[in-house]
Amino acid sequence: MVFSSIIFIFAFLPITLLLYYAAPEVLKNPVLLLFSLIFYAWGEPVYVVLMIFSILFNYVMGLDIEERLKIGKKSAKRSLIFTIVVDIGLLGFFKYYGFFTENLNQILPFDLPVVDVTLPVGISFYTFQTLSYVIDIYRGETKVQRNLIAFGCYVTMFPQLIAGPIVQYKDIDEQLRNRRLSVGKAGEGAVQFIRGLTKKVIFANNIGAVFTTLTAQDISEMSVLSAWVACIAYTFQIYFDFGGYSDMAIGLGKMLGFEFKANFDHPYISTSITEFWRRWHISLGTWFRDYIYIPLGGSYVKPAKHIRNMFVVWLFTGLWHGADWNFAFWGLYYGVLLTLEKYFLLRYLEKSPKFLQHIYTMGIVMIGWVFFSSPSLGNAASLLGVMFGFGDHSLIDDMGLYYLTSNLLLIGIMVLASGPALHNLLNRLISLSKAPKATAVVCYTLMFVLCVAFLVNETYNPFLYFRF
Amino acid sequence: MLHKFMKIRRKAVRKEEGQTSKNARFGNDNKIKNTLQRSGLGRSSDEYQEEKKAWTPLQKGEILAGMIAVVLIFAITLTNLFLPDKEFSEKENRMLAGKPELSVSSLLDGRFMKHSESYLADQFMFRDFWISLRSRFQLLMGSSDSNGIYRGQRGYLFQGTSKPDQEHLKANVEAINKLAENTDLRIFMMVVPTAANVLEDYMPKFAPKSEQNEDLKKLKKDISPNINVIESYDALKKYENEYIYYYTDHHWTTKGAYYAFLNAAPVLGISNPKEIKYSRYAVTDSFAGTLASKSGFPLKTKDTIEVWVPEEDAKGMEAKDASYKPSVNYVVEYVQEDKKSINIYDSEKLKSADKYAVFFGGNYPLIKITTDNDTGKDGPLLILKDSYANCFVPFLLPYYDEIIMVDPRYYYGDLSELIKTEKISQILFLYNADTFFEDTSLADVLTAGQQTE
Repeated sequence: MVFSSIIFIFAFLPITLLLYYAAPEVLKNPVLLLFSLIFYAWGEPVYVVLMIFSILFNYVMGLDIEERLKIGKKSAKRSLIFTIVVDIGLLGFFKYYGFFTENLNQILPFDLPVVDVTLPVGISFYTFQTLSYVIDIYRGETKVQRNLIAFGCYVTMFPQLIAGPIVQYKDIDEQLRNRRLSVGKAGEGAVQFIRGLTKKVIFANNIGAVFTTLTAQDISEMSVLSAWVACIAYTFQIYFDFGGYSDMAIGLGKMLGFEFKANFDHPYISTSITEFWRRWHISLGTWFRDYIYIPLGGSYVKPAKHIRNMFVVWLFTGLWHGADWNFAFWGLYYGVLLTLEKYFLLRYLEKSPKFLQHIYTMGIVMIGWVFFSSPSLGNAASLLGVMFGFGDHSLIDDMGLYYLTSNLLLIGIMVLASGPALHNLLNRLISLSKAPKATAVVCYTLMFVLCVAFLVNETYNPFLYFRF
Repeated sequence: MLHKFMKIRRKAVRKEEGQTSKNARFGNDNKIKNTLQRSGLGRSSDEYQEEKKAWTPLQKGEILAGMIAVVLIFAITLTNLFLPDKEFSEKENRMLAGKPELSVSSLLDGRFMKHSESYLADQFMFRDFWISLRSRFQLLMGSSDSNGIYRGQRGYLFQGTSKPDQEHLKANVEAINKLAENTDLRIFMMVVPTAANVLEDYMPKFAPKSEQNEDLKKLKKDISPNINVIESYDALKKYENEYIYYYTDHHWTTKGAYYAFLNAAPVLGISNPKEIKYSRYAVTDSFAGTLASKSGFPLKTKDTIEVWVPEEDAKGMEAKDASYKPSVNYVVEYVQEDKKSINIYDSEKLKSADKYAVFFGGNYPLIKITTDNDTGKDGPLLILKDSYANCFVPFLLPYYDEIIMVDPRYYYGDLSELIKTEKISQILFLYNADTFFEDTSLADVLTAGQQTE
């Protein structure tokens, strides 16, 4: 199930909220767990078994690691490594087996059996969550969760289950035991949900349709303008899709009494790639930093080792987004750029005018999205070729002009919404008006009603994150 | 050394993050008690009042807006629940999804989920309101297309022309060519260009150009030379200023069909098509067609459907002369429905949304029209067709003894058997370009009987 659907908003959510609010304190976690499982099983009626296994396994291993810690670090470490191997093994099999066999079969003298597995939704997200749990127990940074239901809630909690944010166990341990529900929080959560829904349904879906239409043409027949409009469209689509989804998750969490950390902080206003990655998919960056980069030594080691660390982290970051070469390339592309920035580029960048910094950053990011969005590396290269005028392509064509002119207003609004400007404007409009309450109600109700109109007549509502 | 250093480093990092739960976790018992007390709905109202005081006007507004949204969600959910289900959408002209059936197998393979989703969307309250709200918003944002429908000039709505479904197209062309090689039937093929192509000057500014003419050219090249291809583009283009396509529907008008008929007549062997003069009757002027309902765009104008009647029949009808005999007597037989009619027009359909179905009552798998003409032609004309043919065929009536219309999309019979038993002498493929290039059933119907032969 996805949040931006009629069935979620007008069937799942009201039933869940009703039972969750009506349930006494002790039953809130069980209700949440039950409905999260239904939420997951709705889209993955078979793979829900895999997720339940993952919950039970990590629950037991958490207890085991804690017990062994009393005996000694070494014994606990063995248990931890076993847990990690199983967790990563499952993720690896379901997500990467096809990719590896496809590539290995080309170089190996014999053929590995090809198994056609579909990727279980959200496996990349919940595997990273369970990993953070067992690792933190080993490190002594969190206490073990003895209540299976509370632990199940942590893994399956439907707001963040299938598209993040990746919540680390230690951040939520206390909230699993007791959290505050309040009218204020629920109201603010609902409003944040509406903002996220608007980003996804009004912005991402509409501009995404432009991207799909433009890239459906043969690249050889594309004009330079079409290629750029497609690239701009995707740049907005991915941010508002993912960012909107995170907003909805955080908002829903609030309605249930949880506080999740922000996952996106206006990434497109960054003045460097280093800054961009501090603002983009923060929970993923934090995870890689805490569980891979820093354990490898981070940046407090010799440059050669540091570069190796960057390479490892960014290769994994790329591959986490999808089992294909273009994702690996996309990750390494950022690894190289971040290393360059750290060792010298940032110093020059800081001295240059602000607008140049923005152009540099967005340029890099947009080129990155071409690799990210293309079905293959070759395809990405040809699209970039068109964008930068290689080959015999017309500069302008009707297709590009049509989609640019008919979406100009939308693009303008999205530019404002990418930074804090639009949200600030809305907030000022509400605070400064004579009747702030009425203004807020009118604005948010309009946004919500409009989203419903788009959802009812849903012709284009793809969900980008099933691949992860 | 390094290991120790890393530990410190890790701690520092975590400190930067500002761990909020640490205090609560290791804090004193009182604090936890307090939190417990405050958690959930069991809080005292004093505390609530206190919290409320601290809210800024912005927060107050947002919280109220959020609460209202939640109320709205519940209200809509309940309305959907209690509103009686509709079986059919007039506006969209299709059956709506009914209640899903729950079973273990439908749960396991996800059918139940899919069905529930379409059920909920189809039975959503005030569906038409939401659809028109969306398209009005899109117009406001400067977009002139919605669900693949363009809002052009002069009030025209256009269905964007579709790219050929290459795989099926190839199979269809092969099947047609095979048919032409194996028989001495005379075969005609008329794939009619659609409005987005013929009237492209009225498309919105910069709207993607239709490639239909290139596709039609390629089709003519691929098709067997034994087949007479009738091209209608020039004949229609000449009259682009006239009312040859509906504003709100994807069909051509009776007038458009007439111009195409005049153009096709010599190829079909009709020597003097202008001999018969027609009286035009507007049977409705409130036709809002498929493009209107698909797009939800507000309409500048509704459409008029005309029925053209040979002048001498019109005179007879108007004179209410009892001795009046129509120029052609015919019986229309809907074979699979086991229904006969003496009228090719179904005026009941003018009361429904799908008013274009006034011609033959819509699309049927197999329609047989037997006339009292005695043209001396050797056998019936078989028309393999889509709905474009429905307002075209009336112009053919005076010139054939018998016409058989097959709509391959709904026909499951054995076509070669039909050709044999009915002693078909001529075949006309009559499609609009959009349906033809997207057709998935023609090849199946054409090759169906071959294995059993």
